[in-house]
Amino acid sequence: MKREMSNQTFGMVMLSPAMLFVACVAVWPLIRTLWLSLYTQNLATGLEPEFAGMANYVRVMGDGRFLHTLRVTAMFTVWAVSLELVLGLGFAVLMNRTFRGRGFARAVTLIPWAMPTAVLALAWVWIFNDQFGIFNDLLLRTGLLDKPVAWLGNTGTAMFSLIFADVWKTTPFMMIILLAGLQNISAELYEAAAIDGSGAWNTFFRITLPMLVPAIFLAVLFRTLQSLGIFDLVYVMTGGGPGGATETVGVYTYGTFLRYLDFGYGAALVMTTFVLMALVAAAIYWPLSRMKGGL
Amino acid sequence: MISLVNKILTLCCLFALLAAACKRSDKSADGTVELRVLMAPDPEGVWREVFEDFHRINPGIRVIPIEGPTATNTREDLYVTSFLSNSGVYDLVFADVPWVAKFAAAGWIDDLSERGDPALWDRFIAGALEGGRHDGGIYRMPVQMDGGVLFYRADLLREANEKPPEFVHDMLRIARKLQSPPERWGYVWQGKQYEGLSCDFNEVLAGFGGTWIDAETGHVGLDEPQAIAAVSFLASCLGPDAISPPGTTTYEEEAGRQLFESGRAVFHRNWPYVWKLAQRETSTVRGKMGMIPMPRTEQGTHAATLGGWGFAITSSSQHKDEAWKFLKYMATLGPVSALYEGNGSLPALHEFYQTSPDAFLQQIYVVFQNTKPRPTVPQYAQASDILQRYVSSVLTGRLSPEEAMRAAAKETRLLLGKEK
Repeated sequence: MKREMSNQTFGMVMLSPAMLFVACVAVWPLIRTLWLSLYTQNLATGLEPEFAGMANYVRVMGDGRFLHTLRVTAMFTVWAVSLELVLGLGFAVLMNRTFRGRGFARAVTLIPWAMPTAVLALAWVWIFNDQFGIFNDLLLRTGLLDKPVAWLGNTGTAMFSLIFADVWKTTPFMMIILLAGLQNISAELYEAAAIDGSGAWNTFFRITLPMLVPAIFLAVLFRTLQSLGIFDLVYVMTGGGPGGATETVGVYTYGTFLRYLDFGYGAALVMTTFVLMALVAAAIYWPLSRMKGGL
Repeated sequence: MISLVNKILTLCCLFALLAAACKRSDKSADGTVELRVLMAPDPEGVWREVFEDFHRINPGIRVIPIEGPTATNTREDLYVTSFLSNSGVYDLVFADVPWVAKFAAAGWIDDLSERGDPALWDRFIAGALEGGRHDGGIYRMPVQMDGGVLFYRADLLREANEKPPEFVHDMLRIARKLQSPPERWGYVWQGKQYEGLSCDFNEVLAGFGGTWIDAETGHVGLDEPQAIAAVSFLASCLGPDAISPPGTTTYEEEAGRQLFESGRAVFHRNWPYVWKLAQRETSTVRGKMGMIPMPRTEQGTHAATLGGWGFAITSSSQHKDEAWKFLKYMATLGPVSALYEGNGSLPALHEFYQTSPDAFLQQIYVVFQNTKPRPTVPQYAQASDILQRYVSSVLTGRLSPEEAMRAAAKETRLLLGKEK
């Protein structure tokens, strides 16, 4: 008994630096934000905190702009993550085969993901430009368009362009996680399937996909959370425009904090978003945790 | 084991170094007072020269520039973060116009009006000084000035026997006559939803005789007929019979400049920096361009949205007198002329233009007489966001000018606490 206790104590001691670290960078800011969200602290109060109770949260509930940004963020996430999953899966299966130059191909496909988003976003702004942009040029040459489109300048196409750029950038991330999942599938299973005379599609749907489910959930979890917090791409490419049509929660919260200096309300926005994101994460994580041999 | 101890020791040293670097030393070893200021990168070293000259005249004081990122809003964020954490790092703020009211209202920068005698303030072009005012005080001394101007193709206008337009309807007529889209557009400007849209709108609005926000009275004029006419004008540039490219709703300054420089625009609204660039060897419009104030209607005035930079003294500074000495130095011809020679930034001193025979500077001086600051209210950033969203909605055809401006006016009044 005594020995077990000391084992446990020893474990706690060994863990404490890591726990302290987590407490400093995750728990403490969260508590502080929660505390701040109960106060009004903005230019009107001379940046001094004044206790406001739940007033900030009441304001969040009636804030049309916030609800709009939630819708935009949700739509962006659903489209981007779905497309990335399909494409990432395709690439992962491809990269899992043996072919000449596989190492090179794997490295090359990772490049978009490895580059800084803000830099890429600037490049995309020029790619989607109506007069000089290569995107229009290609579509005009192939006859898919008869006159240039200002991709980032219309409500619908701006969203499409953002999703396009995001899919291009983050599909490699999806691919790498799924590739790791693929490599965990035992070759014996495929061998057995081949002996039983299973075709390529049959094998994919009966063996590859079911075995890959935990990796898929994991990849979707990561990407969804990242995507719900999207900021840099939107901030540089559209600034939330045109007419606020692509403003995400991240862009709005940033503005409320650093540009409007409305800290209490910004904190309430953050806490609300935090709870919503936690719910989404739980919804994805729950089936994953029930899976046999899951994580 | 030894290597582990080594590693830990190295880490400790690193932390100690970091802590030392973060710790602020007000005075260097020889007792010189150091004034710290965050600025944009200074690749030509023009500012460093100015600071050196100042130090030669005032051996006891040295200005230490900390080079931040190029992006203006990132530097604003850095200042804000520093003030919020009470770090007291900076003695001076090199401030853009829209920062002033916000920083002043937050109590981060000092009122300078008492320090300078009236004769000192009279040296500055009125518009530039206006950009530093808040609540009856002067919180920023202007150093560089900027204002929106209309560039035009002098060669095309001459061929067509047209004079540079004074009125909006003249500009529209000439633009329609001389354009041949999509090869050449009549009028190119900044229509993306960002700060530039507020700048463009601000001067068009004044040209139509309207008001955005009167900082003194808190009056919001966005739903008045002049403002609706101004927005309708901008939207009509993109509508049927367009004189502006469809991508205008995505353009910042550079996208438009590219069009103008490659000879694909008759009129182009931008900042004076375009002049120097468009006169390079590689430019198609070299020697073929002119520059005038933004046109107006009969009811309005020529207006150039005020931009530019100036110094403010932080409230937390321990060396306000030394900082003021430096500011007074920056109000003289020597340093601002050096800056103009070095990186082309335009001074805010009357004297500089009055003593120069340069034709470009004379044209600019005319424009600078009519600068109009964006509303100098502390909540400006939010007011600008409201305006941008609604003007952009009109430009992309989602809302009618009336609907949009009514909503914008309502939200702005709510923001300023003028309406419940």
